[in-house]
Amino acid sequence: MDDGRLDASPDFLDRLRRGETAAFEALVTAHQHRVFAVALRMLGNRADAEDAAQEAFLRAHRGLGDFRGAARLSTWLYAITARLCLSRLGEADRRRVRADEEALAAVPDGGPDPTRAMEEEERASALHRAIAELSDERRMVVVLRDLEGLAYEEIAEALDIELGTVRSRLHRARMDLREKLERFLP
Amino acid sequence: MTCAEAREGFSALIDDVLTPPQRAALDVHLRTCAECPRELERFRTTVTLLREVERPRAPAGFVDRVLAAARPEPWPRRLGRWLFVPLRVKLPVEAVAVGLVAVGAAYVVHRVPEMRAVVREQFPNAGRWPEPSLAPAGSSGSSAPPSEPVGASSGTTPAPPAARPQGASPSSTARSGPSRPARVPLGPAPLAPSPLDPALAKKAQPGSPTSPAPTGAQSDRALDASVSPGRGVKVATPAAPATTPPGPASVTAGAAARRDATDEIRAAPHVASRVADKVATAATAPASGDATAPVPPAASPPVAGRPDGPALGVAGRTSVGETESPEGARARVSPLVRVPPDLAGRLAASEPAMAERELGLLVARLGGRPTGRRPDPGVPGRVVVELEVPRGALGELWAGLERIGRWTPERQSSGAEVPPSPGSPTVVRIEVSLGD
Repeated sequence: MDDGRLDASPDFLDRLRRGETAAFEALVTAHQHRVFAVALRMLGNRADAEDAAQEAFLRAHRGLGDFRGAARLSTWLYAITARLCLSRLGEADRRRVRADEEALAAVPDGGPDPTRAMEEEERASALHRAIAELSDERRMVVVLRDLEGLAYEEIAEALDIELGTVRSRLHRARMDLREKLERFLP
Repeated sequence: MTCAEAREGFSALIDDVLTPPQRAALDVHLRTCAECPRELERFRTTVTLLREVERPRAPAGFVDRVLAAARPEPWPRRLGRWLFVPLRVKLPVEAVAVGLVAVGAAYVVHRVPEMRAVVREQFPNAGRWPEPSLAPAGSSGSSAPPSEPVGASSGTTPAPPAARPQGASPSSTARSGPSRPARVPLGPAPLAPSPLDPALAKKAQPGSPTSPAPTGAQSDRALDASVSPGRGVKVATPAAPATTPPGPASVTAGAAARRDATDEIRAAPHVASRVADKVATAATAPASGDATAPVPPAASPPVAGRPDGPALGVAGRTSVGETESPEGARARVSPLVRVPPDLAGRLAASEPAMAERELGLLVARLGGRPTGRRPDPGVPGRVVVELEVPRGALGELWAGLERIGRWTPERQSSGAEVPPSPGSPTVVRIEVSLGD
């Protein structure tokens, strides 16, 4: 189900706030991959990502009464997920660089050409590793902007930071990635 | 615009968020710079690569798991998890907590007189409350010694050794609790539950104002009264004992009356002589009909001729307070009035419980009777059994004690003629410290 359709539904929020199970199921179904993807990119392994994504939806379920509808539901969910992931990363002080096979398993298949597939795989591996090596704050902005497609304003709202900070972090993150991917660039 | 400034705008250029002047300035630089357009192309490729990254998908069943987790858990399961999860942590802690609470509750109930009163009111028929000094050694078939030493705050100290059984008047009989077992420490009868006195059961109902459950508070109040002469203490029943028919009075009632008299005397010494006069008369009226401790009339000899028998501790038909229950009065005994026994000693036996039972049988056979039982204040774990036996039977008692265990006499007053003088009309009071 499309996020826009959910948000556009006039009574969807009311159904959610009333605790209607079907409405909450629709919300989870529509946003599960987004939330899980952000959690996986941030936390680096699927088990942690699933746990964080589930916790994010549970927090959303408990906090639906506080959602005023000023932002899109998806932005609100991203905000919850981002805060949760950053909190867990800060608590665990876990290693930022993860050559995480699970995270890299999502690399698309290169196609029938073995040589090209190998190049694609190598490039994708380098890309994921480069993303994982970014600082948490920069990685979060890149994930939300380039992987999830949020607007600057939405990122600023989700992360509760200034728009200029979003621009700055995003640019620094992209520059870092560009340097790390030098050999794959024209 | 420098190359560095131009490259700072690459992200905004790619995302198309530059203002028109910024965009124009950057376009000018890109047209004039040889390196920046190439760098912009690399930057754009990097962003393109990023945006081509396939979004990972949530695992199968994720929605169901989220919905299950969001579903309110039944309260028993929530409660169980709150109580026991993690089990290995919470269970030992809870076990310790429960144990501490149990110990604390037992301590409070045992120590606080008000709590004992509540328990007695709730379980009026229990009658097995382990009172420290008046615990019936044989009434429950057990001779476990009481756990409280004499003089503890319970105020339920045993009857003074000088107490003599007297034929209880109907009034004093009625004041015995209807459902309380007779507190006869030793003797053959305690093996069976003590039957109730019919008149007693008829006159006194549980919880009635005239026969409230015995309370430690009453004991305390009674004790206060006893140490404060003139404060509500009066001679209530001046009926002459000799004229009282020897009805089916229990030893307990007699003991209560005796303790009444004892406290009465302590509270108002000026009446002691009057009480003694009455006792001298009452001594001729033996207690009889005791269902729980069938003491023959010979077991209740007069006490007037006792050599060292002061008026203290001699039963009379005096009482303290008309509304005070017999149990309350019975508990009104202070160790201050204890009169030294005529004979005291230690009886060592391998099985004190059995020895105590044999001692009770022996005393009953000799026509004597037990008058009290209390923990030995000097030796923890030992109990002091207080007895009265006819002076003539003292020699046989002596021999019996030696048969039961290792008998070591420790005290003998001048009045206790050991070996006895046959035919003496008085009784001898004996305290046997019993233990292993």
